[in-house]
Amino acid sequence: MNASWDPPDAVLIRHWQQGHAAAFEALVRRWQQPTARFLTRLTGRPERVADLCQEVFVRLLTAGPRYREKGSFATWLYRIALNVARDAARRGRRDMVQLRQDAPDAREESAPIVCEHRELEQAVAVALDELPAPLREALVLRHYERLSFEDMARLLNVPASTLKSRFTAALGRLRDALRPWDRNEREAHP
Amino acid sequence: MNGNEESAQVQKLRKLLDALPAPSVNVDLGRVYAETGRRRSLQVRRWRRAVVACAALAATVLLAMVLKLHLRFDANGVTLAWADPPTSKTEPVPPVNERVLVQNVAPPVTLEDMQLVKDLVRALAGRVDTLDARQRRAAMVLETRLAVLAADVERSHAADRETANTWRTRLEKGERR
Repeated sequence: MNASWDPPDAVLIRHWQQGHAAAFEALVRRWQQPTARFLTRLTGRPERVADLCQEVFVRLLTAGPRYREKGSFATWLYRIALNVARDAARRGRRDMVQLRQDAPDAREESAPIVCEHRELEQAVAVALDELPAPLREALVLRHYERLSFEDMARLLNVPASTLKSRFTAALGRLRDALRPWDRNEREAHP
Repeated sequence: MNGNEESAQVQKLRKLLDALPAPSVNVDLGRVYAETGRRRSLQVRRWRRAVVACAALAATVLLAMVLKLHLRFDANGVTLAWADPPTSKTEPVPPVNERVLVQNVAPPVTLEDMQLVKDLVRALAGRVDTLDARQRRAAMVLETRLAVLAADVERSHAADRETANTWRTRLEKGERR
């Protein structure tokens, strides 16, 4: 495969279905980060995301031969990831939102700014976690994954109009939850 | 709040939401392939078990059917029957009145029957006579044995008496001396 040419998902899937393992590996490399990001925002459990991601690609590999080019590959992958996230939520009720445990940012930032940034991350994570599952799914798919309402409707089997109102409701709740941060920001950067 | 202000607020909120980081993940392809293989083998095993269970069930049902199914070859043809085939044609049940009549009327007695009964009576009488004579003979034998025993006992008593007299005489003689 030519390294400079980035084949579209449909081409990779066709190759994979024809038995080329390299095509599947290319799909994994391309989609592992978006899947991890999606699962983190959906579950609020960054420490479990690696396992969940692994599970998504196991299911993808198992279901590969059944894939038909009806919608986009992304929609199909998100559906699998959504099911994995829902299964994980069913298995163990989501407990406290985890604080980031990794090393401080490599960026040269002063300690108060880093602290403030961490606090903001935590506040956003808590606010997302407190949203009901349908609202959170609508918000994550629309805001973070930039899916159209039509794609979301296909993915969730819910009418697009319902999803629009869910998304608006989710934004409203988050605005209330993050109002103090908005004020802080205004004071910090008037 | 006008539309522009609201839109600006949403933009700010979206900016805030973007503060949420995502962990960096590196999917282990080896583990993905291994786990997929394990699940496939589990599925195959599950299918195999289901097939064996179905086959066992089908065999049981078939056996039950075969045991109940009867095939009979007659002169007139072949009979294939579910459950036990009838052994003979059942006679029609007579009406109740007819059955009562059949029960009340005695069968006619013939001369042969009478002769047979007479012979039987005679044979039984002869048997009784034989038994009687045998018992009488046994009684006579017993009587004779009793008489012999009585004589023996009498003789023994006489001998005892004689011995006693002899001893008494000797003792008297001894006392006088």
